[in-house]
Amino acid sequence: MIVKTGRFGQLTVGDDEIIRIPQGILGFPEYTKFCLVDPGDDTLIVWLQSVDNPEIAFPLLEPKVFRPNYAARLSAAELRELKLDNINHSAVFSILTITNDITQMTANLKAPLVINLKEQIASDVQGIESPLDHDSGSKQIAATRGPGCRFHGLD
Amino acid sequence: MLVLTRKLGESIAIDDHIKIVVVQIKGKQVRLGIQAPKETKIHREEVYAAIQDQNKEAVNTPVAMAQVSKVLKG
Repeated sequence: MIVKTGRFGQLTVGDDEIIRIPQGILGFPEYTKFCLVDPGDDTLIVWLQSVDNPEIAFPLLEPKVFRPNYAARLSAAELRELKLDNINHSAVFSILTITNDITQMTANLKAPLVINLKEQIASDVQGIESPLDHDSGSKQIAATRGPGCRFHGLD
Repeated sequence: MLVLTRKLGESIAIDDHIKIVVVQIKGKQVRLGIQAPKETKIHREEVYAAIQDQNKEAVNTPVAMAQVSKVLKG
């Protein structure tokens, strides 16, 4: 399959390289097929390129680069949705928001993208507040901090 | 939108499986308890909206990425 992207030019994407995101990315429910693009530009950033719409690509960074202790939280329903029976088959990424002023770049730690590398299924897990959980203080704090996490301390 | 008035401790049933209870009323805050099947996605609306907005910004990344490389490498 050939995808003529705005950012990377023409890409040839094999069927086995397609990552399905059945629910889409929040804000973009209409796009469900993606591939990962590593532009090899030394930035550590890989791109989640939509196969459905060549103009849509999300920059991704592994949160461990700037938050070594970061862990994504998945509910049982999310694990099932991802068909993830072995955590070792997964990769976790943050979607980056890169503005013109690079030092104001933010990474979304509230809805990390979790990819099941074996099944090639992904989801932006949203820290779903399971009805089974009792309301805990820590969740409320997390909710008021907003989705963005600045890391301009890195420069 | 359907608007219903409820008192403390009263609840609303949605379909057969979802129940929302008014657990506490304190000043301007209402605490709600929600019982629903575990597949039901429940969010605080503003968090959900903020993530959507951020994702929409993320696809507008400027093409000049060389500077990013510098920032990340430190």
